[in-house]
Amino acid sequence: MDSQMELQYLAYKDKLDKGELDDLMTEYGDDVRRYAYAITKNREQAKDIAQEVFIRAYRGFGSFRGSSSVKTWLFSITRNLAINEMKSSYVRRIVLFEWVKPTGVGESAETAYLEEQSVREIRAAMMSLSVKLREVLLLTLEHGLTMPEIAGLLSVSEGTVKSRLHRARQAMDRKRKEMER
Amino acid sequence: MSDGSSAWEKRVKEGLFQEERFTDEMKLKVLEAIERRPRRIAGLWPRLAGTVAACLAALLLVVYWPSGSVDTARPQGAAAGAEKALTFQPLEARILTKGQTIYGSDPDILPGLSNKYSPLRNTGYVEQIPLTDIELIDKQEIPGFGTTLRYTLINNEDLPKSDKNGIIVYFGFVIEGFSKPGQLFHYGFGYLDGDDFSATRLFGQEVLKIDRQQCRIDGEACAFYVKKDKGGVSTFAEFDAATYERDLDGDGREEAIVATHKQNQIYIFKEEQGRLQWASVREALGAGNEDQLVYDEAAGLFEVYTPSTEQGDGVRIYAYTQDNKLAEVVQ
Repeated sequence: MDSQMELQYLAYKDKLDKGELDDLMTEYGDDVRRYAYAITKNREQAKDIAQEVFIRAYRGFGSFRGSSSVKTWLFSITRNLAINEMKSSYVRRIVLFEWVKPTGVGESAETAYLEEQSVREIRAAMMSLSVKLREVLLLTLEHGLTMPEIAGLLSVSEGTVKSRLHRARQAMDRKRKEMER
Repeated sequence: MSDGSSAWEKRVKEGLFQEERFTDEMKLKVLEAIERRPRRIAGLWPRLAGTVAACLAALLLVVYWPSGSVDTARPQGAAAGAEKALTFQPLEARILTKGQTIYGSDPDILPGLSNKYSPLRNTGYVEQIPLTDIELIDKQEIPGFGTTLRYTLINNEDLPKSDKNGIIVYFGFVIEGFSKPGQLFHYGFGYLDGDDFSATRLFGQEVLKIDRQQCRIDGEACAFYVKKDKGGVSTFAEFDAATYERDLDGDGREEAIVATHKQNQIYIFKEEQGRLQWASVREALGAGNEDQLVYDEAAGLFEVYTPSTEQGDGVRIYAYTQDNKLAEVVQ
């Protein structure tokens, strides 16, 4: 039995204790932060969101009834928070025009960490996809969610997930080829 | 699947964002947050009745104080307990200038305060554009300041390309005596629903305050202060937390009282010749991690709530004195 399966027993509990919350953070913290990052493309936002996810999970644990996996449940909280944050980020920017971050500056700063050229290119291609396509691709490949799980998480049909996945793969192939020229 | 696609898919499966980790520090913050937040009011409510009564008494003192406005009057007569000195020190922070970008990854200037640069701005005057370049959505009179406008831009070849998207809602001002004829100050963009606009004073300067209670995902509010002078309109200051203005020390210049959601800090800022001095109320009062700090804006009092202890009633209230101390208000 792997640790993720072990944590499914939590479906039978009304509330978490701190030890169980710590276990959840250990098991799913990285995934939650990476998923938040995939949606927001902003490291600091993703960090804040990831912390808030576990605070909300702790407080609202009674709402988890095991109809989805713990991971999918945490991802659904992450997604709601990230989407709200993206809306409020837009709202928040009452800024002088010269303060507005020019397109592409954030990307070049992020890519500074990445030493390997191919990873940088794959990542750049991935992050240039629309959030709808990027999300299904990462949920499938990186996070290993099943088609029904993704459909449930995104509140769309499995057919829509398949269609988005197909288009995402095509777009990635196209972008990779363009980069190789 | 082609070899090319299998290569990139393999790399994605291995994880593209390995550096995005849920660190031990983040875990600690979550565990601290679940400890602190629910206790904020619920556990203290039985003791709040006394506090509310004390605050009302203090407020009455403020209202009926013999001289001065509400902003400058302080309930000093009620403060007769122990005094705690506030230590002001220069704020070591970069000043944002025109053309610089604020990055989310930059460090905060003080614990719990999300500003990345000094709250004082030096970004220059706001440009003016012709009123004929805008399509007005609505406007609001701000007594003592001018008129705020919400609008979209009409295509204009002189505008930067990024400004040509008609769905962006912009925000600016028309100020009699300051705006050029037929022009407006073109300030920024964003929906302003829920924001509170008011003319007020900060650091001895008349300003327009844009107060946003729901500003950040981490629960922080924020406040922008916009000033006008002979040169035009410019951003005077911005605090990334709930901010209040009050002349605490009676020198005729309003301090900024900044109450953060993160770490529950309260900072007091003074401005002297374009530089900020700051003091930590939490530090001055020796408040512990479990203690909850609250600034009572109406009464101008600082309150410390302590979770139930064997000894005490759990609530202490302090008033600011003219010699930069916090004096306990005896209940």
